[in-house]
Amino acid sequence: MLGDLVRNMTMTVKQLNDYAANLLERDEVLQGLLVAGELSNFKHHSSGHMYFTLKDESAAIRCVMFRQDAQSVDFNPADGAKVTVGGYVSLYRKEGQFQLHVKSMRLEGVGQLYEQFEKLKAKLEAEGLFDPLAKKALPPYPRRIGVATSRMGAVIRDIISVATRRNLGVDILLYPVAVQGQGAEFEIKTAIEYLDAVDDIDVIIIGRGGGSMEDLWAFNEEVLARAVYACQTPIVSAVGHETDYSISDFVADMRAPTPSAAAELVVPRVEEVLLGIDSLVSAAQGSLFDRMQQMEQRMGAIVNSQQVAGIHSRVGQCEQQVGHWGKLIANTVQNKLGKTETMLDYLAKACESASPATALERGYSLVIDTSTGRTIRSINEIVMGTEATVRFADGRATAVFTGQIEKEDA
Amino acid sequence: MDVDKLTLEEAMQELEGIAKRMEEEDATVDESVNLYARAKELEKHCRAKLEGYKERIQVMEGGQERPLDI
Repeated sequence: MLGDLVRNMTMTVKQLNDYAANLLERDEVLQGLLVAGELSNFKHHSSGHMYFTLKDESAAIRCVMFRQDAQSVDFNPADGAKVTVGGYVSLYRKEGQFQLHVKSMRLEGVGQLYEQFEKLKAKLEAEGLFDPLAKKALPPYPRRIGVATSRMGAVIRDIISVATRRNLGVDILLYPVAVQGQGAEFEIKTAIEYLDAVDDIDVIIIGRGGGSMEDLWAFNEEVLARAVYACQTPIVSAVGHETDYSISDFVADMRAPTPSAAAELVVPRVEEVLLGIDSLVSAAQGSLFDRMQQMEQRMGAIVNSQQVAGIHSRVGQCEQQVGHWGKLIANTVQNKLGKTETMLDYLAKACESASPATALERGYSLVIDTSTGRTIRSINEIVMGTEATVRFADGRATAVFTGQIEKEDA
Repeated sequence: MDVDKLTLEEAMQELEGIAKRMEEEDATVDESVNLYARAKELEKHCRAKLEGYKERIQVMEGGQERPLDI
């Protein structure tokens, strides 16, 4: 009946839309439902409202989310994100647009992944794979660095740029792997096992640049975690941005917040190494000087010790005594010499007065037997008629004894 | 051990050991002089090593290591 009535009347557009809207708004199912799909044409208007299309492989629906509801969204919605929205269906009467009026929105997939992540993390932690005591120290001067990452990604680029900037040409071996997508974790595991077996590789870096949680997922796989744990060579995990944590970060010997930080951790800075050498050598030099100075001080202490001081004072005393005796001897000798000189003077004078020449000068003369040459000292020695030489102070004369000998008694 | 055969890391380690030993009270003057001579040798070796490093960047390709073109 109603059908017949309606079929025979003409409606305005507004009447039609009102009618359809009423139908939709009265349907229980359409007034409270959850819909899963992918975001597209996402626009966050300056008014605070969000406008987007929710779609799947074969269909799409326009959606609106008003400001007061949009404020409760706890992630940054973007085209391609898989979401589940809650809300009701309505008709935008002005344009006859069938639409979903969204009251809530959550990111799909990641929520599930996050749960998986937490579960594996708890399990491996309980097994001791994150034990800080099991972590190996990074070598300070690695000969060669093994890198398991994508050939074109940020990790290898950053490592090479850091190594070049640090002016220390460390050797690098890149083992290219897929860092996302199906089976990436197995490729990375194979790379780790290969690099671990290379003799001169002293440290390994695994990682990739930033991305969504799904993009980084290979690094959250158990198979990779176990390969990292089994690796004998110290291993650094550098996955995504600073805020991204992966299971491999927890298992690795060290987590680097970013790929370039990994390179900074692993590549020694040549200036730092040189500085280290300098400081060690100067410390050694300092110790040597100290040791020698100690020796000098010890020698000084011995020289200044009581015994040596005693020896010094005794030497001083001896010196004084020697001086004293020396003076005494010198004085004595001086005295003696003085006396001797006086004596000599006296004797010389005495000799002088005793000399015949002196007597001759005083008027005496000397009679010498010419034949014998001897001085005639007594009258008894005279032989009459013989010749004698008479010596005067100023010459001599020859005489002959004549006449009578007159003897005088003494 | 012959200084020339040491890696940079080994040489640095020995140098650290020497610096530490020389700081100890009971190191004699003779020992210190000998250690210092060794430290100077190690220093020379380390510096030579640093200069000798080549920046070889290689990539595993087809089961072989090849130079990597950046």
